[in-house]
Amino acid sequence: MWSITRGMMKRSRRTLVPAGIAIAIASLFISATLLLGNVLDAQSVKQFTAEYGNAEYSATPDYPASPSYQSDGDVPTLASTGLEDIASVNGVSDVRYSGTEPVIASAGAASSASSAASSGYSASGIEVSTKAGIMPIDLADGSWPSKPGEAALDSDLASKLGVSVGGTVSLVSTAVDSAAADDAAAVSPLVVRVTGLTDDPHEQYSLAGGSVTLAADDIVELERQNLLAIGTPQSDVDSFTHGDITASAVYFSLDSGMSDSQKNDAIGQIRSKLRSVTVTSRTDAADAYLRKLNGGGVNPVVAAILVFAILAMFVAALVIANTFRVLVTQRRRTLALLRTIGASKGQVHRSVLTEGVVLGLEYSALGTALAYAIVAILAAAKVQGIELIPSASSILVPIVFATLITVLASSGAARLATSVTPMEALRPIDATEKAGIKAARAVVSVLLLAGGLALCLSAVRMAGRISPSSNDYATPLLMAVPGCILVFIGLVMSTQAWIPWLLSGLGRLVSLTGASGTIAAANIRKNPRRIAATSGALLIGITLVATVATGASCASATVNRELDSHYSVDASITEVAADPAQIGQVKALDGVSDAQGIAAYAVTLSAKGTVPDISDADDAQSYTAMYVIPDSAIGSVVSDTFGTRHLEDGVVYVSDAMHTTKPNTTPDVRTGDSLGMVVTSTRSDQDSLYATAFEGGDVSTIPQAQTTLPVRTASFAIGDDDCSLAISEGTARSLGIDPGRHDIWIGVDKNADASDLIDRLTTLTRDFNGSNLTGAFIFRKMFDTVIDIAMKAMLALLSVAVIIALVGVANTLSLSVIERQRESATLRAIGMTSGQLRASLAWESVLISVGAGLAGLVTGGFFGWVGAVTLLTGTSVAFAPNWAIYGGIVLLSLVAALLASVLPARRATKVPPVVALADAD
Amino acid sequence: MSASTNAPTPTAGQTLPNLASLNQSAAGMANGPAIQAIDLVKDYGTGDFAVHALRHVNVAFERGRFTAIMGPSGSGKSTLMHVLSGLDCATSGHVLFDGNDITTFDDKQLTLMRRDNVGFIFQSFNLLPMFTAEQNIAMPLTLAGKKPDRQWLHRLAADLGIEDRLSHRPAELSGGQQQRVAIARALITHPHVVFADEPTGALDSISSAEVLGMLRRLVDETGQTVIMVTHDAAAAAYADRAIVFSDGRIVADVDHPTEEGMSALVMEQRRATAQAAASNAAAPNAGPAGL
Repeated sequence: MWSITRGMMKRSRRTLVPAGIAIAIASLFISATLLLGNVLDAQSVKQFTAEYGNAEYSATPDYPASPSYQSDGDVPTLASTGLEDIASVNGVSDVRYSGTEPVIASAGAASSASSAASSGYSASGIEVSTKAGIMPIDLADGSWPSKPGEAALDSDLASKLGVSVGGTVSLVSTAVDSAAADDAAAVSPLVVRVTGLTDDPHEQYSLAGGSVTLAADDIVELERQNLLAIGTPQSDVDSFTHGDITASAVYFSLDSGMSDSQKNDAIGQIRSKLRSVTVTSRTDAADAYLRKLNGGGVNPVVAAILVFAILAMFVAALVIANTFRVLVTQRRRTLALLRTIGASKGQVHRSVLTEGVVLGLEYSALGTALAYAIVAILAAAKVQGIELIPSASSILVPIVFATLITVLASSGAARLATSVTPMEALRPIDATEKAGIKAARAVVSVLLLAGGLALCLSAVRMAGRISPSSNDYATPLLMAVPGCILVFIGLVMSTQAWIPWLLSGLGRLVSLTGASGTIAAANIRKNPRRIAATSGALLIGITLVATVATGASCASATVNRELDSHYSVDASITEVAADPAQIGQVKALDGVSDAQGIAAYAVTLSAKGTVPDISDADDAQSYTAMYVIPDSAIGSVVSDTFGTRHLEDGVVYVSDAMHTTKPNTTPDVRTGDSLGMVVTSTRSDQDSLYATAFEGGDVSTIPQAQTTLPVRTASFAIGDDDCSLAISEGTARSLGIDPGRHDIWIGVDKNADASDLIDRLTTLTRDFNGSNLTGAFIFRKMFDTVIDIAMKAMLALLSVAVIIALVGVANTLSLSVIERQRESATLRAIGMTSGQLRASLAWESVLISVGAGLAGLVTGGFFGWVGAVTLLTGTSVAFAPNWAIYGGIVLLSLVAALLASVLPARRATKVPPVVALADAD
Repeated sequence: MSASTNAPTPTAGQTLPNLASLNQSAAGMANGPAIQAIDLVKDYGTGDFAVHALRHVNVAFERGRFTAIMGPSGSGKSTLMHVLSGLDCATSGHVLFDGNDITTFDDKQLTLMRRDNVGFIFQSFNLLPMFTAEQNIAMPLTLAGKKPDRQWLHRLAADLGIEDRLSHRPAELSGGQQQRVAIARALITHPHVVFADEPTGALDSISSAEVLGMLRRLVDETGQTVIMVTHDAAAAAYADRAIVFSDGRIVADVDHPTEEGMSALVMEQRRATAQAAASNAAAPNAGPAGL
């Protein structure tokens, strides 16, 4: 039977290629992901063990149980690490401790500590190991310090200071910078000669500004400087010794010529000398770290990506199952013949499964090999620190998994093969498929759909009622996710039932376009099961894409709306002169849609809501700004959230967040209440009535007016506190005093380049002598960017599954073409041109793809919205369909469908009609 | 056009549909042959393994006549039909279809020509399984983007006895009914020529007789030109003229063929071929036998 199977496989080689490609792509995905995981793990480990330098072991005291623990409060000291004891053990070649000394390094010999501190750069002082062999940084030039007064500088730090080997550097403890004047004077800077330059490949000290390697005594000296700078009495400073330095672990290495037993002896000695000390080898530490990092399993990043890979494999499985079914159907005659001449059902069954195994092995091996090749190429091109780190799992997992999936996928077809009776060899039965689905399957699908929908909708309702700070905030999401999954499974299980119905409806539309459309629609109706399976695979991919896109756009729209209510103004330069020329300059900037000068009063409020009495010490009062907003500003430089485009005269608009932000010093007013205030004409905070009174100044010199105005609350917030007040120009005039403060409010284009604009506005703010540049648009941009990147990453990962599904469409089409040779030939004979035939295949492909696309969009749109609502509990989520992506999906499906039909169409029209019509003559 | 005396009389109990109402225009009478082959050569493959399906065939088919092309398997009769109807292209030579040389046509022109001027009846019916009988009949017009003349369609269906079957799919029709649907499809465009390739090969004797009778009546009462390829002498007897093919050549051309006459002719032909094969085996350089 094996040779017969081999023979059949050889013939069907070409037809199985698309299915094979699907397997290869999915395996490639899995293998590449696992290889990526290896790289990430290796990098993490390297980072973690970088501190070891060249040391093989670390010794960490077990706090606080260690008896040698001499603590200074909670801070472990060097003496407690037992460094001296370890160094004295026979066989220990080099010892180092982990501990850094924050310093400020300046070039040349500084005259005083303060001048050194103000002209220098922050750095991190570390002590050289006893034999200078196991440093965590590399020596690039020169030599390590061998005695006090010498230092090895980080290369980048050295170039910043402008010194090289042989130069001089002054070091002071960082504490000097913030010390009181007389404490700083007591410190004399440490002057060292640069003996060497170092590199920090693992960037251990780059955040601190770079390392300065010093001898032990110099480190002690810097510690003493630190103590002096914080005002420690001289006697305590003098009694500070090396053993008092803060240190947490000791790194050491053993002599290189030692045997394993000698090494064990040495470590044993160390352990006995210092009880409650844990000696860990570097490799053990790395393993333990890795285990902890990945929680005993796979790197979480890798796990997340693998989810998408498994999805891709699942879609591939659908394609494979479909292909094998069609293959078996087309092979019916041969199978019947085999059964007639003596093959048993079992043999036929195994034959199909064998074919599945071979196909799976072949193409998954190919995919894995390709993954290795790609990673190798990327590593050779030195892309982003990628290395090729082969591992058993990255080879075995994709191959075994893919082969298993292939066999499973082909099992349905294998069962079909056993149903072929020997009779069919004599009289072929034209196998027509019937639409519709088994009762059991239908019932289960309906249950899943109903249950899932119920879960989703109740999750949505719950989300609306919960506030984000409550403990239940995650519950709606936890309900929605399984709800959506159930709905999805129910839909996919029942594709046999509703896809043919959907496509025949669309087919009717297509038939209107002419003969090609009619033929295409009829062909789709002919093989409902196969078409539903093909369409279903594509449906999965597109639904997920639509879900991600919709979720992202809903989240983005909601976040933007929330931002709008918290940041009513895109950007503003505060406290400038009221100068139209300045406003013009701002308006002229690229990305600025409008800029207007807005005047503001300083206002003092009382928690009681009446006009505050400045002299009353018990009256809780607050200060805020009251902006005069002309109609032209609303919608152009400030969000249209006042409920009107024309502020009423004689009324004060109060931000509805005012009382929540300052509950103790502002009244809780609603629309219809009245608010009393003292209004002054000042330029800035410092001049306000409130501040002046606080400092004991004379308040009567400040122009002021008292008024009580009816309140309208609105959802707006200007400035960094949410306590804004706004009035119309008419109201301002009636106050009788001029506003003393002028801001420039700026409206920013949606597509403006944020960083560029910020730079330019900052410069202008400095030029105008403005006090502050606040920019809500930065937040908006940041959120949008984060959401956008996340969305794009997920879409990229999903695209693999979609591509596999499209391969499936092309596959089904070409298999159908082979089956339909006789019909196509008949049509050609009675007058169908090859153009019409190609068009009908294109229509067929389009129907399958666009049908799945539309269904996927609706489903995915629903899922995405549910996801967004349940994720952002407590906020009302805007349903913002992402028409760009939707349009893109439909367009892509269309284009892919047309492409998918090209090769099958060529095959169909290449054969002259007569060849296919030829009967056995 | 007088009815052929060789048409078998209907057996009692059979009612044959009346085709007299299908009156085609009599203009098809004059103006030269319906279709003509001039020095037609068709080879498959090249070199030593070339198969010469047609060897310099010259033949003209008159309008309004029922012509049978006979011969054993592999004689080239089907090939001739394929080339004449534009389904396949000739290696050399010309085919004049109603005066037009179709050997110069490209694929699209041939297709359009077939669509408007040729009706096909196949041995295995070749109906499209996913369409109803009515849709199958109208298919050539649908392909042309035209709406079928409803009256004409129903007339055809009525006269072929399948009017009550129009909404059925081919799977729900008997062999004879399917072939009659195919005939209706062949006639829906009022074609210049109807080509029938072994139309009775898949039918039982009663249905065969029905179909042949219908073809005969078509020719007699409407002046339709019918060219039928068959290996069955009994079927050939329905025709006005029988051409016998052997080895890519016409070896006999008989007017008013009879069943016995054609049978004898074919058997003789087989004997001659066998003899030639034997003598070829003995003396390979002997010239070809036959006429």
